[in-house]
Amino acid sequence: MIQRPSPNALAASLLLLAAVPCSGAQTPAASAPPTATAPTQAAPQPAAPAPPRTLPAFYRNLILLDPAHGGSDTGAHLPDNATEKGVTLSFAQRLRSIIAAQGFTVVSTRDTDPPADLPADQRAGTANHVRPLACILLHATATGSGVHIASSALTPLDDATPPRALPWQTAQAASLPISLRLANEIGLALQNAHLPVVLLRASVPPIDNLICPAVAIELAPSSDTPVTDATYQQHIAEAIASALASFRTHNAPPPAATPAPTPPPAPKPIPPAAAPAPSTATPGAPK
Amino acid sequence: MIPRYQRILFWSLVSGILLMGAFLLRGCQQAHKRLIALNNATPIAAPTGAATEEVTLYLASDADASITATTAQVALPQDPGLRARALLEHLLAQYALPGSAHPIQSGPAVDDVFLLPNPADTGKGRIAVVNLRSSFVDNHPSGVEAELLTLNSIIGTLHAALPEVSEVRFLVDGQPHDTLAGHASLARSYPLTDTTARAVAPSEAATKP
Repeated sequence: MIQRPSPNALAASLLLLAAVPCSGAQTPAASAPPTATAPTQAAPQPAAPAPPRTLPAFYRNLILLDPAHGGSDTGAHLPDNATEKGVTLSFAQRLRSIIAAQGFTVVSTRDTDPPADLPADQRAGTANHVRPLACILLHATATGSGVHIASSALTPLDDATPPRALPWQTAQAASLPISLRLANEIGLALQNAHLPVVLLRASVPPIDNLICPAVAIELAPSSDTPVTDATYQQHIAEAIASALASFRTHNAPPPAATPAPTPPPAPKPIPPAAAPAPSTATPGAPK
Repeated sequence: MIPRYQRILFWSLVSGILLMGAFLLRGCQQAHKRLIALNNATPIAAPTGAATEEVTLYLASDADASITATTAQVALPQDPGLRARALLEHLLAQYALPGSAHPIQSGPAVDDVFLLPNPADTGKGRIAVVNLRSSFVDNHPSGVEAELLTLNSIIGTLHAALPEVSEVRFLVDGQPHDTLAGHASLARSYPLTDTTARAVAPSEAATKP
């Protein structure tokens, strides 16, 4: 039995998620300067609680797939009596194995056809909770041609610093520049694979509620090849997987590859004999 | 004593009658729904006698995901709300013509268009509320691109005809609706802008941080 969180609960959790990275890793206790202790107070002190670990902004090897529709929501009716919910699920399973071969861990919002509809808010809640490198929403249609890649139609935030809390309805606005880079990366890979590509800006639920870099990928027929064709799907999936690997390299290089910040010079210890005597520093003290 | 074969025959005939009755009833209901969906009972203020005027229609094409502005001569009523409704009906009727680049099933599409003061805008600007018919939404092709093109076509056409309107929202049969046909959101409001668009190709430069 799947418990559906209410939209208010999801909004509250998103507010919390957004607030965590901005609040910083340091707690007041951890950021407080160390207090000087006298030698006589060198008795063992109770161990101070370790500062809480800060959650990363995203996991660089994690990809979220969202096969659209499911349950009573069949989506578009495709040729050969296929339904969009079935095509997106089979394509997600195909894509999952190819992405995993690139060293990614893949989380999917659904692995089967659920008995009940999966609300958009619940899909967004799952995606925002796991903090993936990219969220891929999968769709299929019988109109148009090639592959349609849609980014959110929201306006990017003007301010460079992310806000402490993100409104649920426009959460994607903060990640939109990265989402556009992801869309271009996937578009280029598909183009290199000689597949027709169309880049779009559309509000496709739940893309506006996601805090991860997100695109909706819609499979459309290509020159009499239906979207249900296994070879066609395999071709697209391989291009998407290579694009995700390239996106990871460009936008989230491995920690060893990033130049380590130069540490500040360590203060030199002052020997006790060289230290100024308290008597000379204290005016009025007896000589 | 009734022979066994007669009893079997009797109940088989009864079952057949019931099945045929149910089939007939379902056929009647479906035909009734179809007729209701196609019946446009709401009259538009007839523009007969009004002179035609030049309007700009933003027409979509599925082949290249483009929106192109074209001009047409249309007779429109003077009332702004009725004018917007008649304009949208004329626009969406273009997509039902044979050989349309963005095919949509024919039939009435727009129930009403309301022009209201925008509560979020302190100065100028009004908000348009387009009330679509459920028959139009139910028969609209399902897909991200197809639905986006329809919305952008409506938005661009309203922007050209009603420059004083800054925002548009959509209802279906007077009620809020999540999506047009499963993909493009109708839960948000859209700014009225020039939606003329050509297909955008991905570029290498746009992939770099």
